[in-house]
Amino acid sequence: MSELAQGWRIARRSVLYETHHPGRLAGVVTQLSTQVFLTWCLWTALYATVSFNAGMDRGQAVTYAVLATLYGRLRGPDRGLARDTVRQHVRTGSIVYWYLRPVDPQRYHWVRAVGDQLYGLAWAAAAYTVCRLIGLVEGPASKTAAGLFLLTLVLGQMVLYYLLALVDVACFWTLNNFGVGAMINLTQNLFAGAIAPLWFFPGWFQTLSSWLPFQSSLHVPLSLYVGRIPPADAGHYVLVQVIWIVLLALVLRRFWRRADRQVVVQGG
Amino acid sequence: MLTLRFIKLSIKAALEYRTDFIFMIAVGIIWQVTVVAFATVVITRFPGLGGWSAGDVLLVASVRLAGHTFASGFFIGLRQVSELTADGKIDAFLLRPLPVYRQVMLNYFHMPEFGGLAVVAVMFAAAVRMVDIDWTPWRIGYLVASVVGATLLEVALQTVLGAFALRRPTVKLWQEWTEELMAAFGNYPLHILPNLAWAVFVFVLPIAFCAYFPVAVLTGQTSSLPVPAGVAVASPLISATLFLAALGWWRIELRRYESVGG
Amino acid sequence: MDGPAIEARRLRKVFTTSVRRPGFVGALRSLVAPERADTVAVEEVSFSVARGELLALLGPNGAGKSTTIKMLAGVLVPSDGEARVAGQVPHLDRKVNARRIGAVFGQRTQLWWDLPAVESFTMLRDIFKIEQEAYRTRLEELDGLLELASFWQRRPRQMSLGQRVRCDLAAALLHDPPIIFLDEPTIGMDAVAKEQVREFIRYQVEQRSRTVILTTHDMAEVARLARRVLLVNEGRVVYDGGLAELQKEYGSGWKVRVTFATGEVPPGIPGPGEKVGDAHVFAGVDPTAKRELMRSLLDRDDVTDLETHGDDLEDIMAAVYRKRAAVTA
Repeated sequence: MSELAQGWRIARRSVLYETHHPGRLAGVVTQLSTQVFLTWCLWTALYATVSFNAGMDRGQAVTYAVLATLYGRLRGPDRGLARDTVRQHVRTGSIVYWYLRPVDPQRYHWVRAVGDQLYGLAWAAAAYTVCRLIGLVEGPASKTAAGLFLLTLVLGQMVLYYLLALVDVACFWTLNNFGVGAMINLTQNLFAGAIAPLWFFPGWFQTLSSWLPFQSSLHVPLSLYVGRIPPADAGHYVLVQVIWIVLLALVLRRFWRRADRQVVVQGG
Repeated sequence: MLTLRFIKLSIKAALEYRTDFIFMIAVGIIWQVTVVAFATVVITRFPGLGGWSAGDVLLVASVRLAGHTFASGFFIGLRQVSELTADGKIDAFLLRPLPVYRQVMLNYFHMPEFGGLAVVAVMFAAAVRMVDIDWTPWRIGYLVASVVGATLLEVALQTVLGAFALRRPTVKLWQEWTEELMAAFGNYPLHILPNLAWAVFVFVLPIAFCAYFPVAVLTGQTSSLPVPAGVAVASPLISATLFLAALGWWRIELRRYESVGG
Repeated sequence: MDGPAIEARRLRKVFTTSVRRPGFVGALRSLVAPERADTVAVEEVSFSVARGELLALLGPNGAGKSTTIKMLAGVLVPSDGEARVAGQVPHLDRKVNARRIGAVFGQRTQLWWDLPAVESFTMLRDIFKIEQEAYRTRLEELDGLLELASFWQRRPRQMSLGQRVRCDLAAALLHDPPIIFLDEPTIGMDAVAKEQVREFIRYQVEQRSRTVILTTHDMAEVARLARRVLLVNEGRVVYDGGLAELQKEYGSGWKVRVTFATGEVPPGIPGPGEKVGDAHVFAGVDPTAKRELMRSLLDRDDVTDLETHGDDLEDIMAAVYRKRAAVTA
């Protein structure tokens, strides 16, 4: 089996969780469409009294908010339910199996994440198409904006992967880092703009956010998409993303090396 | 007494992972700050939402957040039913001379949530200063009843879903989704939404009874509501009724419990 | 109170599961109209256990043993039929039932995973409202039998399997229940731990007159502990009776293993025997032949070692399972 085929087989593992449970699939469809619909209603309603706010008109703000909802799907199926998160494996000790396979755990983790993302992407793309067709969201501000959106989206997802992978690997010595994970998720939601577009927050908040890696994942691509960040300014943001990727990748490598040295297995 | 012992034990267990415990408290605080930040965003950026003043909206957010804090502080175990089933813990609960519901509820005591009470207090203080209400004892009593109602409503929804989770682990996703929706849409005067949307929040996922209706009663704005004023006044009572009904459903589902393995 | 400690009358348990149709179209169809399928885990199981009796509940994997135990313990509500523990239906009054029974499901723990086992014990003491004095005496007794004190300050997650199950046994008996359910308590244990647990179970039956239902796959354990066995297969009772009778009915005969000083079968011994290692094994079904063989062997000086036994219980079980499967098929 070639490397690629092996990678594919590992990657699609998480996808099977959902496709093997038709109920779960139906749930995802219902949940996503309800959420999109309600988000659209809310932001349209908010703009009923003002036409222009925080540098965004109604169309831009609604598009940003709805796309942010779709973005929530990008991370793929819920692995916690399938008892397949690193935290669960470390807690039960089944993480040893990762070290008995002819695939480097670090690589395995990466390939699984890519699989999750691709699956999530398929969902997001399908939902996006539907939203465009029924006119819930506007198209990208320009062709350049669309290109830059895709570029920064991919880079942003890499930043996010490294952040979440660090939390995962940290389990190896903290054993239980539910709190750390929850915190990263929360700060991610807040500082990435998933709760409300960052443009609406006070200036100090935006400054703080610009020093954190989180806004790379969602805020930057979406702002480019709706044209709130002009394409001419994109270079700066891309550079920041690349710097974060390099930094976090280096830290993650160190983490993995340490983890490999001290695989603490519970129970037994 | 036993309840206190359970709580102590749960905190002891959490302290086993000290760093994580600290992080959990941090999470509690950050989460609350998030809510406050969002409320501020809405109130400052979009004044006069649905004809309500900033203080009115803040009061809605405060009641909901207070309810949520108590609900997830005491009842977070309900969101772990699928794990408890998978680990066979429900089996063990069934073999003890205590109601299973109470054991689930006390299985994990969500300490960090109570750190958030400070944030709730600050929000209430701000809201009370901003709104134009004559705080008679009756109104204060109704506000307290509203917070209890908001708690019971969230607990009722999670109980219904938690009862499903006894047999279907994937219901956990719905539990998370419900909480997210409540956090995202519970803080507004819901009549700004189109009919279909608020109908969802009245009849399907009755978030409207949580904070929006009671605050409308307190601020005397029941005329803008899509339901009769009497219904709005009865919100805390309706929440309590839903909670009792949810407990009944829990009992029914527990009888159908299937356990896992062999 | 008179009557049996445990009684099962035509117990039945059906689980409903949704079946996924194969393929993508199938998945879509399952979405719209999920197909339900009933799995019968237990079909009309009836038996009773007297007070102070130990019953070994045996059967292959998936036979319905655990489901039966869970119905008797009150964890599962039977789809049909009736379970009675000490004369009462367990799931109707769980609180009363809980005080009467103790249970260990070998692969699951009821202990708090992140806390020292002792904390779990005191918590159970409070849950069952056990008097401090009684609690202390019982814990001492349990410690004496299971040697818990050396590790009960540890958290279950740091314990070996044997230690964890021993703690679970203690936890199940703290409230002094007259009836105990043990579902594969010795699974995965080493020989020493197994021995200790068996001795513990025997003590509970013989000295404390507790009623025990035990499931296990370890036939040595059955031979040591049980006089009566209940065999279930595919949700039905296939044998209910004495272990000795079972052996007689299904055992194919005797085996005698002899080591001769010369390494060869000397003349005058009936039958050639099969050479296994240094020894020769003689086997047969006719008891007269066995007696004859034994007589001739016992008089000889060149027999250095002599062992005689019936069929292994393992062999017998395998034979019974196969035979019953063939009958039902």
